[in-house]
Amino acid sequence: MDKLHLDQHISRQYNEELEQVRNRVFAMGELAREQLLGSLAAVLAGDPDRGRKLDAADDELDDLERAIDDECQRILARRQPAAVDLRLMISILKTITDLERMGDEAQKMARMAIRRAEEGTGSLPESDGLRALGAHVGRMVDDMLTALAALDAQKAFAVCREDAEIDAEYKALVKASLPSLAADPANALDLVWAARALERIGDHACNICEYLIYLLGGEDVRHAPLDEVAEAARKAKERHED
Amino acid sequence: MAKRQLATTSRDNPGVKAWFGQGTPWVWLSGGAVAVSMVMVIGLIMLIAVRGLAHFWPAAVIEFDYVARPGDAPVRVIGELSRSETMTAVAMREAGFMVPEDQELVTRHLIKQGNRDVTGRDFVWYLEDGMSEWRYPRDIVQIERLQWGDFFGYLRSYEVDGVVVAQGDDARAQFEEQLAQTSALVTQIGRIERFDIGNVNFRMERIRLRERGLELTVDLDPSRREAITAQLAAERAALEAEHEVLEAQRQALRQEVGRFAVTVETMGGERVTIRLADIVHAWWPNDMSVAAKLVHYAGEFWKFVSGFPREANTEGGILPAIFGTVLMVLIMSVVVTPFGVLAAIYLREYAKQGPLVRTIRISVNNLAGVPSIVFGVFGLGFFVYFVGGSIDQTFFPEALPSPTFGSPAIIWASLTLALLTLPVVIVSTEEGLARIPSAIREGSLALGATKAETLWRTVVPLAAPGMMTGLILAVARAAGEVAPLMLVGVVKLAPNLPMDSNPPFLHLDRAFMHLGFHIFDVGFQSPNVEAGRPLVYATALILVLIIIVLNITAITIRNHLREKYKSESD
Amino acid sequence: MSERSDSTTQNLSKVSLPQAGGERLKLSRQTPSIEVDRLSLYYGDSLALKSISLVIPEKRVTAFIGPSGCGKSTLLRCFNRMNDLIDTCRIEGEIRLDGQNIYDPTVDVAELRRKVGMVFQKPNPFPKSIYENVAYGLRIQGVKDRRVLDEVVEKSLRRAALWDEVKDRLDANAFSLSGGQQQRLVIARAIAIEPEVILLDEPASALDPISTAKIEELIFELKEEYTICIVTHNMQQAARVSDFTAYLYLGELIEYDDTVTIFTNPKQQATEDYITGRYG
Repeated sequence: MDKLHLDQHISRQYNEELEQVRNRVFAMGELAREQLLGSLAAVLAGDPDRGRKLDAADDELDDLERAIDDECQRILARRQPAAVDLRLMISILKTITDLERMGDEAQKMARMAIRRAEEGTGSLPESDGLRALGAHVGRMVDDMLTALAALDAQKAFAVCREDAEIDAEYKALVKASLPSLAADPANALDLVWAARALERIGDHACNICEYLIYLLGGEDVRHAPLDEVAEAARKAKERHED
Repeated sequence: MAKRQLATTSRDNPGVKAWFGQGTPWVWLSGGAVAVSMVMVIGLIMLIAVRGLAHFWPAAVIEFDYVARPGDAPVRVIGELSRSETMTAVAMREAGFMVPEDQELVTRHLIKQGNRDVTGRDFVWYLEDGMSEWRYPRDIVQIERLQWGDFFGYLRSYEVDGVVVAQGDDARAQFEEQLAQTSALVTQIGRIERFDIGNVNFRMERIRLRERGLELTVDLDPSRREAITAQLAAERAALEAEHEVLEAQRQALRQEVGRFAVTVETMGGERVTIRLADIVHAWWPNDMSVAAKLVHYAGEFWKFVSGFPREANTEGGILPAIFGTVLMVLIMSVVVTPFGVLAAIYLREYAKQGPLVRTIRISVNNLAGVPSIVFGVFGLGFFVYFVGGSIDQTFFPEALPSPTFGSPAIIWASLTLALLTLPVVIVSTEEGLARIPSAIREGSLALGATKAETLWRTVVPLAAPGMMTGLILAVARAAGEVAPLMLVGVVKLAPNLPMDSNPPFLHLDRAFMHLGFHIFDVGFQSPNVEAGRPLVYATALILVLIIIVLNITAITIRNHLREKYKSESD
Repeated sequence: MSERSDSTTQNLSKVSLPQAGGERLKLSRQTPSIEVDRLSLYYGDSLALKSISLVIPEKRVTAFIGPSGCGKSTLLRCFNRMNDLIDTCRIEGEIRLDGQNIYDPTVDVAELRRKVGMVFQKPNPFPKSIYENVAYGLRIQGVKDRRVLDEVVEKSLRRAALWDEVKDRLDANAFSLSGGQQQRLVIARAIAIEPEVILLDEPASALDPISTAKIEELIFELKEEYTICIVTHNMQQAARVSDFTAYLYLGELIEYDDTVTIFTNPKQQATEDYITGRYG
């Protein structure tokens, strides 16, 4: 059952409103994940058609963001949520911003695929590292979405921890592409750009998980050292176990 | 659309059920009840007012010749038409009147012919059949006398010192002129008798009581006793001298007024001489303009309200009764208000609400249902004999065996009525207190006021309208109560008002007259029922007016208080 | 992103930014005004307050919230012994005002109530003039000097932000004022006797939003000088005006903390259920 008792308000209307806005956040998360995976595949495969389709799909994400914003605004004005409901609103408003940014990063990759097709450069060479990074980020986003749906603080913390690995992987990848920067600057730059987008997506996923920990535990863990985040996640989990 | 449907449904279902459903019958029923009550109240007041007020109007005096049985010589009758009625001939025959065989209905008239001293009967029934045409002679004089009631007749001559000095119209002019002077002198005699000689007598009585008190005092130095005795004797001598002077004055005045007289011819043709000193007022009712009648009316009414009763209360005024009623009600109010209010405050504010307080409350309410005569019996036994007797024993031993406070008196009547009306005041005050919102009390307490301060500064002023309501009900009840008063203080005729110029001015130990009892006495105890009848109505009217005035005063005060302490809760 | 630091943020860090949680008032750091120590209250045999202990800080606004019948008004009425008016009411434990137990038999209740003023749910001015309403407390204390009274009446009405509205009609009946003005008059009446603590029992529940806002603004100003306790059904109001909030449920103190914590991150599920409108 839902740990935050979001469906236990005396006002059933309120329950439905919260349910709806949460479903939309999930839908948006799912959409962002598809964008990520699709555009990564498009870049790797050098598929401009797929890239164009995904480029256009970003508008859908923007529309969803606006719709959720609007709903949150209505709930804030009409229900004056407090405590967990207030934290939920704040978290959602922040989460959708990060989701939208994730979409933007994916869009960059999709456009890159289109551009490369137009330039005739096709698929990215030496893309194994990027593929691995992409798979990792994809897993992370999956985990993030699972944590969001299950309101799981531990899992959220795991995502945050993963982010450090992503960063390291990204740095390694950049370092590895430094030699080819002089030899094949166009491809190398695109590779770094794509990796950079993936890394940013990982950061956004991590942010969203921090919001989730805040939602569950009431503690703001942004910019905090990892052990503090771990502590907060543990407390948040304990709190919802009893 | 919906509205339209609603409208048609009620139109589609006419009939008795719908009519009942709308509640219309209840509106009519309750409205009808109000209307019936109003008709009854207004009818009552109208009846009293018309019958009472008509009494003072100078009615025309009629003269006719009457034949009691066919063949008799006609007799001249002069008098005022009192009332008429139509009866069956059978009943009249049984009553001893001669009525022709073929007649079924008989009309008869009650004629007030006055002259009780001459004919012995002043109200006589005459059958219409025996009467001649009614005449209204302008020179019939109606004379109101100090004794024997009214006189009807023709003025024949005016006499001074037994010598006829004028006759006919001349006599009338001189008579009227002299009567005004004589009346003034008679009033003066009355004043000397009532006030001056009364005052002297009062002081004489005081001296007698002091002498008696001196006798009762055992341990007194003989020389001191002698000194006081001598002083009292001196005072008595002075008073006796004063009395002599007043008596001489009175005699002189009496002599003066006794010189004048008129000779009047009755309907039977007898000539009667009446001294001007015995005449209160004389008028020629058939020779008066409407204006003159109005003046006469006002004068008669004023004399009724401001005069003292004469002739076993069937003549004269009702001032002592008005005075006694109002004074008694006032004393009662002064007694009952603080008692009732304090009792209610204790019951509501201080007493622990429990079975005991409930019992007391029920008892108080039941007290209101006890027949008033029971209160009278209680008042007689407790107040008059026990309390009054004890006071006499303790404070007025010198007056014994004649009682001072140990006899029915206005104070006992007031206290008895206070007891009678206490429940009303307690219940209303309690209701008034209960209506004060607790927020007001809490507000005061929260400012550091004690319970007593809260009570006196906020609660009691707010409950004042409730207390006034209780007082209004108490006054209305007390002013109309008669039965208990007959036992504890009211008399048929009180020689003195309970308030006069002799110290201590307010004589609570005196018996008093009361309008309610006056009505009973005049209407049912008087030897002359017919003469008293209009007075019963007039007195009842005055009583009702007094109750209305007292109530309006109290209601005005209450409304003023309500306005002053207006709060949202009202 | 936690490691992200560039020149912009370095410049910004010179401006003193609020630390997380630094703005919040700490209950432990306040000067106590009223200390409630294991207070239990019985109406006859039923237990209305169950061993409540809390400290009301001086010159702060403390709000009591909770569903109807939770005992919040009862608790408030203990602070000036208004519950004494109820015969069946019995008390265990202590309430200390400035260190002295107010339920000590030697305490003069009237004197206590002068120190702890109270304003009720429905405006309850006395049916007297505006002037006499404010002067009532002083008149009870025997003050007769007209100059002193005038001065106090004006000062109190000014502090209650009512002076400008009524200065021309001080002799008018208090009931001629609007509901919100009446409530401010009642507050002026309470502060005229210079209490230490003012208890407000749902002071704005009968008022329209504008009057409510005025009362709330007044509460904010009054806490400069007085310790204020407020009972309210309106949680937003508690959130707006109070520094500390106590949540009571069925006669028990469930949670007591600074208001921001209570309204963003309460520790107890019961508190959260109540303030977010859930059935607990």
